[in-house]
Amino acid sequence: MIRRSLSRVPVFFRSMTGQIFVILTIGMSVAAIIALMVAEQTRRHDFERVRRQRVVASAMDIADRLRRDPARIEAMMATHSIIGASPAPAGVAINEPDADLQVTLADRLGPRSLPEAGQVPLGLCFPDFARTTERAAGLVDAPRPDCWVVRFTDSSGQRRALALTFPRLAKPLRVIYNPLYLMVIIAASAGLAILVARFVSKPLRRLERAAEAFSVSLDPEEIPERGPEEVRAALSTFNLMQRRARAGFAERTQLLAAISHDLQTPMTRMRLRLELMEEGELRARLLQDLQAMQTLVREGLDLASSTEAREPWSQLDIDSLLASMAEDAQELGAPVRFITGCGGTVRVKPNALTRCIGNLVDNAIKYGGSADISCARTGGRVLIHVRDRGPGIAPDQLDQMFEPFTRGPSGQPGGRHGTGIGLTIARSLAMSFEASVRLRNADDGGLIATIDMKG
Amino acid sequence: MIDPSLPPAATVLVVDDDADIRDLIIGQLRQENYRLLGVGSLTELRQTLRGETIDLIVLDLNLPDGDGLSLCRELRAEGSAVQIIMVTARGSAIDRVLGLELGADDYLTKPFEPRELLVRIRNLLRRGRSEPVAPAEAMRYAHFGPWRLDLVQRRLVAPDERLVMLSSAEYRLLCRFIEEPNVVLAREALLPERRATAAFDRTIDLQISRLRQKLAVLPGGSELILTVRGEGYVLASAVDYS
Repeated sequence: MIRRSLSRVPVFFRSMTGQIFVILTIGMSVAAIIALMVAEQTRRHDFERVRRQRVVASAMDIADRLRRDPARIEAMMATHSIIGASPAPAGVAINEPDADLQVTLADRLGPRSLPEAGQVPLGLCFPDFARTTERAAGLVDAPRPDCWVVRFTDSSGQRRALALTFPRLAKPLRVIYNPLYLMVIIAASAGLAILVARFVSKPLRRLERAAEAFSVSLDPEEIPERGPEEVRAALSTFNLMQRRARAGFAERTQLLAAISHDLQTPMTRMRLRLELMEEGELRARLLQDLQAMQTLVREGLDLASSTEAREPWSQLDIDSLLASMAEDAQELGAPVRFITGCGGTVRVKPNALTRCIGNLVDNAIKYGGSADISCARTGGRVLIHVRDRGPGIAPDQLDQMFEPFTRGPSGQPGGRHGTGIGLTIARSLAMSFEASVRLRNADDGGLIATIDMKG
Repeated sequence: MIDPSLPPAATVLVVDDDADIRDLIIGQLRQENYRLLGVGSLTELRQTLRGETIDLIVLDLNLPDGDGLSLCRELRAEGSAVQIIMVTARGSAIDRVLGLELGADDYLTKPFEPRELLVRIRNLLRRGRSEPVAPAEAMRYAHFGPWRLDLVQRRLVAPDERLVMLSSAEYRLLCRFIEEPNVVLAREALLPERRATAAFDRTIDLQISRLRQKLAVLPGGSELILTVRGEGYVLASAVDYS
């Protein structure tokens, strides 16, 4: 079971459905991931901007207050009376100056302020922080504030250095690297992809099935013209082609039937006129020739009528047919045996099947001396084998045998008799009930003719 | 050689639109002691029938002014007892069955052996027109037990339309049973062609057992043909036709 499904995997990926599925799944996943990455980048950018804005707002506020009342504010800062702002300890180096922040500050404080700004480790803002935490319970893992140092020259020309603290903003999580999100994206893409692939390939598959039906039968049903515009156009063209092919074929058949039929009147006359002749060698020869012509005409009519599929379909007990055909042949003294049956019923056109098997059996007797009929079911198909014990046919001539007026080689027993149209009739009969006829040489001698049809 | 049981000259009417064939057939039939007439169309045929007493018509089906089949049906509907041999180029089994169903007494496919036509005409005239077509013959199906026997296509039909095929021997056998349901039939009666040896012949038992196997496929089908020890076999079912 598992092995079977595994073996279908390469088949699936070679199919159009499979390829559309793969392309869409990969494409949509990549697109979704890129979109997510862009969104994430924007979010990080916003996050940085908000952080900087806090610094700018705070620095501007202090600078403003310092301008109005420098002494008091300096004093308040020194005693940590202003929450979030204190004088920066001297000699702190800003290792990672924030260029964007400096540009914004220069913009707000004036070109001569020469601002320097950057985030620094927390300890620089609270030199005695360690002591503080010792005095508070439960602060060990508490989020610590951010600490920024901002230096600038104010309007009075004094260089100020501020240490600004803010409650820490939690950095947004990076969703993109979460495997769960990735899986959801890929699964959603795959789901949509399979839907689209099926939607696209469904009419194609319908067309393919119709083409297949057309290849085995001359009278298949037309495909309903449904689906998107292009698909409808394709189906309609296919139906048209099917109708034309059928019409052409019907014309040929009618021609054959008409010729064969019209030959019967002069032949009847000839036959009657021959009665007026005196007995003798010439009359005997002419009778022989007339007989040969009659056979030809009869088989021509057979071939013509074999392509007409007017007989209705029926469910047929297949073994009863094979057994009765063998019995009937035995009653006439023909060496025909029914070897194995396959049970159950098949949906066929019974008279066409009977004549088809009859033709194969006649051939087997004529060229192989005897006929063994057997039946087997494999993989949803029903195979009817008619086997002889004759010399078989050279492999390169097997296909050729279905051409009209091809006979077995003259050297073999039974060769050069008949019209060579039997197999053509058999095949065209088989086509009328959507079956095919194959020939192959048996490993241990003899020819096997097989009718292959739906089970 | 005149058959004493026949009136001296039976009248045979040959209908064929091909004048040559008509004349040739008439020429052939001249060997026998018949009064011969020939016409080439349905209109002429109807006229002739009004004016003459005809015993047998050799009827071609394709005539310039109509179809021989419909004429055949017409004549039978009028209650005419004239015998009809159809001679036609249509050779399919269905045409033959249709021809016989519509009231032809015999059917010959063109081109035919002239002698065969002679023999058939002779046989028909000697036999005399058979009784008005028995209802069973005009019927398509004989119903017995759970089965239906298709009298035209010679096969069994199950209630679910499934087909079971019969060999010719089985069909003949079953037909004998159906003609006389619920009557014990001796082996001799079932196998007339082997009457002389029927008592020892195992063929009939083999055929009966095959037929039983086929009938037993349906529930209620296994009890249809019963053995009556020392006497023969019986079809234990009513038969009706449709």
